[in-house]
Amino acid sequence: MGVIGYIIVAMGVLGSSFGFFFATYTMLEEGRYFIIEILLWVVFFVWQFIPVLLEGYSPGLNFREVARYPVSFRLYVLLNAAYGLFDPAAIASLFWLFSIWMAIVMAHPSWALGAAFLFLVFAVLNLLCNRIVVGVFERFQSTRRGREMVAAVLLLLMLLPQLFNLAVNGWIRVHRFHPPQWMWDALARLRSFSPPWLVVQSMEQWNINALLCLALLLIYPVLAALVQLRQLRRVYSGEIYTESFRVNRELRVRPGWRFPGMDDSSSAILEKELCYLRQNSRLLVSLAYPLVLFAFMLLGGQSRRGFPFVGGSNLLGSFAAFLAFSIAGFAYNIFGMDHNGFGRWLLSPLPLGRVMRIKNLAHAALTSAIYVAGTAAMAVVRHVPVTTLITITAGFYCVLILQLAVGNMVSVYWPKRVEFAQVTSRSTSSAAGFASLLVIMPVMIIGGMVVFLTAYAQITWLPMAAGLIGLTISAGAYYWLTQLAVGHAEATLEKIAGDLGV
Amino acid sequence: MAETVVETVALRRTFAGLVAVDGLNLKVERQQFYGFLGPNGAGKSTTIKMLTGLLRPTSGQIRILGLDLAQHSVAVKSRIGVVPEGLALFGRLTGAQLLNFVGRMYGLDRNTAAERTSELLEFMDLKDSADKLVADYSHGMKKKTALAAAVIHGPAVLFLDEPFEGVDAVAATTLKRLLQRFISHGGTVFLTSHVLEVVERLCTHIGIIRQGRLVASGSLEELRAGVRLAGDEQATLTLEEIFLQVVGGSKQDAEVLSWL
Repeated sequence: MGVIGYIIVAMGVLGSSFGFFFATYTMLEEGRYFIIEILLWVVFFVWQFIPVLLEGYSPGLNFREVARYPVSFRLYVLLNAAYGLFDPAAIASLFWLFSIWMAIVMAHPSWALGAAFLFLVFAVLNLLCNRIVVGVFERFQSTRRGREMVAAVLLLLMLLPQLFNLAVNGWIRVHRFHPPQWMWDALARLRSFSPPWLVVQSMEQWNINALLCLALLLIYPVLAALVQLRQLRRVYSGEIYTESFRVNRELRVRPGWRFPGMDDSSSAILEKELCYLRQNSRLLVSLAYPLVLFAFMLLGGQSRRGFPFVGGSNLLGSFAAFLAFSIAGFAYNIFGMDHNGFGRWLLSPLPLGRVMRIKNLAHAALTSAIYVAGTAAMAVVRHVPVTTLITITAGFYCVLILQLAVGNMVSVYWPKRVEFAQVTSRSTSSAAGFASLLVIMPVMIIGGMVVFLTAYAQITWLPMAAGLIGLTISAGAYYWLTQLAVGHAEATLEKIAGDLGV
Repeated sequence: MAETVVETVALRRTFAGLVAVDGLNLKVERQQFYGFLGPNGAGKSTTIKMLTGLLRPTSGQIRILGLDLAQHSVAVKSRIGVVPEGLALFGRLTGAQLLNFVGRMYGLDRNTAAERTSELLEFMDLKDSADKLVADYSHGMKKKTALAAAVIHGPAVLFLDEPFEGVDAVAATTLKRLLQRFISHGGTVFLTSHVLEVVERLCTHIGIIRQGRLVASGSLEELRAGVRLAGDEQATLTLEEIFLQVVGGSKQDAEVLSWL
């Protein structure tokens, strides 16, 4: 983050602090004390989750490494706490707590001292909890598998907005879903043990209940400190967290797959590509994206509120377009996931063009499987006219073939090494998204015109004819562009190998 | 007369004006264990990359097993095995999947590839890690896997770039056993290495490259005959002494790092 970024964040924190102050003051003046609890929950979530999210997106200093330097355990504990205290989320949270406290001082001066003490306890608890969570996270991040799982989880979290839309539009509004009473009761019971509730209760009243709340609130940081000390002691003593794996007692190597119509080496390449997808959580998440989004569109659209994909044709068309667009994530950097395995292709007695075509075949087979699954689900829930289905399917395959062809060119002109454990590592070069749009847009426009003409001019043979012509043009373009890509790859093997880190 | 299996004529490679390999003329005969030595940056890796098709020469000719590499690259590649500098492994495959895949890529049928994979995993002591992703292997395990991948199709010539670098004694012994077995069955090995003791013990022939040029070549005895210690004509030189004589000695310790 540059200087301008820091200035923007600082202004955001200051601005929101004023917001916290005025919100608290106004509500306290009106006797609505629950505002303190709500704002303390906000502080709690920001302090606990933002550092973990940031750590997942761009790992910073791993505090486990600091223990390898000649520092005493006491200093190590202090450094760990200080590091947590200077986290941007912690600084923002402290500003907000101070703003809430200032508002309390102005609205209820008699609460000032008590609130200061309670907020201090709340801040210490947050600091300790945050360092425990980050410690667990760092331990998890110290293995390849852990890092990749975190990347996959963070990618899944990006689906949360759609999930929220589905919950609100699809279930709560349409199905009039109301959580049962026992759920509310359980939540209320949990709330009565939560730190924000305990802070407010201890502040508001002067009775035995308040004392009990205060006692419980004080127990939390003590427990957290004990857990934190235990955790830090283990790291300081040289805990090494390595990933375990299943030991194969009896080695049995099964013969590889054999695909009909393919020789052994081609089948082996196809099998390798499919294994690569199966054994990579991040890739699996990327593959599941279109299907999950399609499910959201299918179910979320039932509320018909601000949702354009209600009709079967629109829904299938947008699903096909999204799927054809998302194939760029794989097809536009076909060697990017091989890393220095790219050298194996160069050493092998197989022409590079054949390797590229089989990689394309693997991607096309997977995308087709997703398309067929989506279309089948669609046929069950909504009606799609046959002519529209043919047009959309032909358009989809035109785009798919063109995407693979253009993808081959982009893959050899702008190869990019994909880091599976980094969420921020793009799977393709920045030119890919633009190129992908350029491929999709014309086909979508032509497809739309075909559907329009078929419906209004009653030309029933048009979808079939347009589909056949489109597929022929795509196949020709694929052959031509792939030849060009192979020629360029063979002329610049060393550059590609260098870009991929061979 | 023994068959020449690796031959280069006036081989040259430049990188943006910098000459990495300069007029290299090499000859390696069948069943030779050829050690290719040189200080860092001398052009060893560049040479082995050109010999295996990973890098194109700026000029010159390469003949492997009597075939011109530029014209018959696919035929040559199917008859050689390579452990390149970066190992060229697919990290997201398990050890078993990788060997099986490489075997089939070289044209072995499914059953033969599976059988050889089992045998190689067993021989290389990788049996317990066969189902683990190669990305999670230690450096030594990766080296053993790369060597297994290089021999699975039964090549006639093996090219190995620093096969013993970063490998522990146990793994090194396994690698040596495999290479000696390969030579005894009629194979030829061309390797680069910094570990002179290993080269001295294993190699029948040695070539030394400096600044892209071959400055010495022959059997160890021939090299000894060519380089004698001044004032002691009868001394039996070690490979390290020969190497230092040929590429130039180092500074006296007393002259540097006086504070250490």
